[in-house]
Amino acid sequence: MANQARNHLGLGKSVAFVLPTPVPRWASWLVRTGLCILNRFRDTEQATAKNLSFISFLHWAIVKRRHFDVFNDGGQLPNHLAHDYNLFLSTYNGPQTPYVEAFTDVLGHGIDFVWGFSVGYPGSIPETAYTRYIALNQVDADHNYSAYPSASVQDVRRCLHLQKELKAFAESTRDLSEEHFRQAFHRLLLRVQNDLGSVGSLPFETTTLRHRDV
Amino acid sequence: MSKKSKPLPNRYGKKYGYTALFPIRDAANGVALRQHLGGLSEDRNGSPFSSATLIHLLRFVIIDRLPFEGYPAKQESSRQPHLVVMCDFDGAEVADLAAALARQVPKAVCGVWRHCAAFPFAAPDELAHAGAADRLAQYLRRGQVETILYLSDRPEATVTEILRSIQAQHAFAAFVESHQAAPPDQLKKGFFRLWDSLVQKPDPHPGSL
Amino acid sequence: MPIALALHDIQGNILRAYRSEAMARFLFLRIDQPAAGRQFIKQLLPCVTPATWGENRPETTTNIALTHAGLSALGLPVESTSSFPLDFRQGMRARAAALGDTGDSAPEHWDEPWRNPEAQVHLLVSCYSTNAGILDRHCQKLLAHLPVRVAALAPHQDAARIIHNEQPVEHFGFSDGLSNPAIEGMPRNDNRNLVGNPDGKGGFSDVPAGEFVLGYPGVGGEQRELPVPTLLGVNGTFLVFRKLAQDVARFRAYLDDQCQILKHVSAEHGRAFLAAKLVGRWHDGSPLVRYPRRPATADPTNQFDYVDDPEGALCPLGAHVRRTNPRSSLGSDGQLTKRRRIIRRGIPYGNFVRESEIPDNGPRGIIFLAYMSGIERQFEFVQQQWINNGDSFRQGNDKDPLVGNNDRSGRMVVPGDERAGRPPFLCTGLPRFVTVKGGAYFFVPSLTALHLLAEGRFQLN
Repeated sequence: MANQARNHLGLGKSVAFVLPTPVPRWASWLVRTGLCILNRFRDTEQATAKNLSFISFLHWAIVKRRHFDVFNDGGQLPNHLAHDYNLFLSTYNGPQTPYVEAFTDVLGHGIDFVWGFSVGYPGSIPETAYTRYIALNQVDADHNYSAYPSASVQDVRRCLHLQKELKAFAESTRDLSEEHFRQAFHRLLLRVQNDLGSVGSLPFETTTLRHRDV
Repeated sequence: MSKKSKPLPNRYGKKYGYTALFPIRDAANGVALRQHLGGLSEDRNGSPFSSATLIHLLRFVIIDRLPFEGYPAKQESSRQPHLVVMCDFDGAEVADLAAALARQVPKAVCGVWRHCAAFPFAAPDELAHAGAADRLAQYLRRGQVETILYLSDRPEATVTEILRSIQAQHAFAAFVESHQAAPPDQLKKGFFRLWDSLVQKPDPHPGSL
Repeated sequence: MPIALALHDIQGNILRAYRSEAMARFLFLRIDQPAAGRQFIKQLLPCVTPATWGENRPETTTNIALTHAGLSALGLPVESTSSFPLDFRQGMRARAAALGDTGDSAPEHWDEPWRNPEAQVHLLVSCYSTNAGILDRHCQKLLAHLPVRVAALAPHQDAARIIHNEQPVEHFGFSDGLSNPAIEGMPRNDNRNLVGNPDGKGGFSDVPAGEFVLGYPGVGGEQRELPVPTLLGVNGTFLVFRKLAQDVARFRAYLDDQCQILKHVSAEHGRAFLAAKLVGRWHDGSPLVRYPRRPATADPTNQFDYVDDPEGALCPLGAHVRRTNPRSSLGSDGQLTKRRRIIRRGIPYGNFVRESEIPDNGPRGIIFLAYMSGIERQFEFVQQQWINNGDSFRQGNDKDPLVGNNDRSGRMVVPGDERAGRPPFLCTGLPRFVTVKGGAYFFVPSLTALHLLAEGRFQLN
C-alpha cells in the first residue's frame, strides 16, 4: 500500500486518493452530463478547486459495466455486474482528514449534484457520514509515483512563477550598470519574495497524520 | 464504445489525463502483482517508470473488491481482480504515452502488465521491435475508460519545465541568502554566474527532486 | 436558542482563564492501585474548581486531569478506555515523531518526571493561586494526605506569570495570552482578546462550544464521538500539556546576527522590527497587520484579519501568529481554518531575564496548556501542518520561526515594502529556540465524571 509518493530523499507531498462508487445504470448518463458541464467551465470551476491549493490532478471517469468484459474474447464467462462505476481519482497534498473536510466545508453541496447518484451516497454535509462513506469505499494505491515528489501544488506554482521572472530578468538586465542592476534586482525580489520558501521532501519519520499509509 | 481518439476532456493544456482499467489474469497474478507494485517505490527516484520522462504522475491500484452498496448491503464482484491505471503526462494522445513507455521503460512496463489479460508482449525486448509502440498504444486504448472531467493545476507546465524550475528555485534562494549584504558588483557578477550555470545544467531526472 | 453550557460541571480554567491567579503548581502522580487512586480523587473532589469559580473564588484552585494510562490505572474497564480517541490513547510521547518532537525535543531528552517512560504520569493536579505561600501550603496538604499506593512523581512543576511593563509576557519578551477563541454561550465580559472565526462578511462569529468541550455541537454542526459511558465524556475535554524550554540567549543572539545583515538591506530597521516580523506582533502585542510601522499607542484589538495583506507585506505569511491562527488568510472565507482553534492557557516557568541582562543557563520556558475536544484535528494539525510546515502559507518546508523544530537549515522570508523601497529580507539558518522538555495528553473529566471515577462502579453491558 503506497498512497504517498516518495524517493530516496524522503516522503513526497503527492498523496493518492481513489474512490470508486457504484452508480445505477440509469443514472450514468446524468452523471456524465453533469461532469461534461463542469468540464466545459473547467477554467472557472477550477477556480474553487484552485483556492483549495492542494489538489494537483483530478480524474473523474465513468466505467461502464461492460468495460469489465472488454478484454473477454468469448473464452470466459462474462461478469454480470449490476452497476456502472464512478471512478474518482485525485492527487493532493497533506493529510486526508483536512482534504475531506475541505470538500465538506468549501465545496459543500456543489459536488453532491454529481456524486449524489452514487449508491448510498449520504451527501457531503454532515462531515462524519461523508467521511464514513469514503472510508468504506476508498481504495489504497499500490504504487504512486510523482516526477517531482518534493513539490506540493503551491511549491510548483512558486517555482514556475520564479523561473518565469528570472528568465525575463536575466534577459533584460545583462547590460545594466551595477547600481541599476542592484535596483532592478531588488524590484525582482519584491515580485518573487513569496516564492523563496524552501522546497524539499518530508522527513521519513513524519508519519503524516491520517494518511492511509504504512 | 469507440476507443480510437478520446474526446477533449482527457486533455488540458499540454497534459493528457489517462485512466484505465485492465483485468488481471487471475487471483494468483493479482497477489503477485500487488507484491511487485509494492516494491517499485524503492527505486531511487521513486519508481522505475521515472525514466519515462513525460510522466508527471503514475498510479497503479489493484481493485479486487467492488464497493459496499447502500442498504441492504450487496457485494458486487467481478471474476478477476482489476488494475486501475492513472497517468498524467505531457502529450496529445495515448500514442505519446505508449511510445515513451516502449522506448524508455520496457522492463517496467512488462513487469506490471504481464500480469494483465491479453497483454501482447512476452518480454521487454519485444517492445523494441518495429510497430511495438503502436501495439502497446492499441492495448492501452482498449483498457482506457472515459474520463469525463480532468483537472490539472498548471496545465501548461511540462515535466521538464517543472523540474528545471525547482532546480532553479533551490539555487536562486540560496543565492539570495548569501548575497543580501553583497556590494553591487558582486551581486551582478554572482547572479549571471548562477544564471548561466543554471541554463547549462542538464534536465534533472524525474523523481529525483 | 443559545447554548446552555453546564459551567457547574465543566472544570475551571478551560472556558475562562484563571487570570488573577498568577502562580501555579503542577503535581504529577502515579496510581499504583485502583482503589487508592479512586480514594484520592474522592478526597480531592470537594475542592475541584468548576467553571463557575468566579462566584466563590477559592484561595487556590484545584483541577484534575488523567492520562489514558491513568484511566486504566483507576480500574476503568477496557471497554471504556478503548473508546477514547486514538490520539489520546497513544499519548503524546508515542506520537513524538509526527509532532516534530525529534532531536533535542525527543522524549529521551525530556526532563523528569517525563523522561522515564516507566514512571508514568497518571494524574495531573493543577493548582493556581494569587499567593505563593498559600499555594505551597495547599499543595503540601494535598500531598500529605496521599493514599499509600498513590505516588507523587518528582519534581513537581512551578510556574508563574511574568509581568513586564505592566503586561503579562513570555520569556522572549512578547506579550502573551492575547488571543483565544470567543466561544458560543460564554459571556465576553468585554474581553477584547477573544476572537471568533471569520464569518465570511468581514467579521467574526463565536466558535461553537463543541470544539472545546465534549457533548456539544462543533463547527460542522456535529458532536464529536463520546467515550463510553457517555456520562464519562460529556462536559469533559482534552488537555495538551507541554513543557517548552525557551532559549532566550540563542534568540537574542540570532536577532543580533541577522540584524548585521538586515542593516545592509534596510538601515533604519533593527531588532524590535525583526522580532516583530518573526512573531507577527510587536512586543506589546499590537498585531503587525494593523500596526505595521510601530506598536499601537492604545490597547490593540484582537479583531483583525489578513484579507488586505495577501502577500504578507504587513505581517509575513510565515510569522508565528499568522501560522497559529490564520483567520481568513487561507482563502475560502476562513472555511479551511475554522476547525483548528484551541484554547491556550500557557503559563511561564523560570526567571525572567530583562533585555539589559545576560541570560544564565537556568531553566525557563512556558508550560503550554491547550484545551480542545479533538487533539489530532486541532492541536496536532496546527503543530504538524502549520508550525512545522509552511505549505499552507506558500512558505514550502519552512517552519514557524519562533516555535518550529528548526535545525538551522530553514529560512523565513520577511517581505519587503514596495512603497518604502525596502526589499525583502531572508532570515537564514533558523535554529531551534523552543525545545520540548516533557508533557502528555490528558483527559479533563467533568465533575460528574470525577464522581463516577471515584465511585468506580461501571456497568457497561
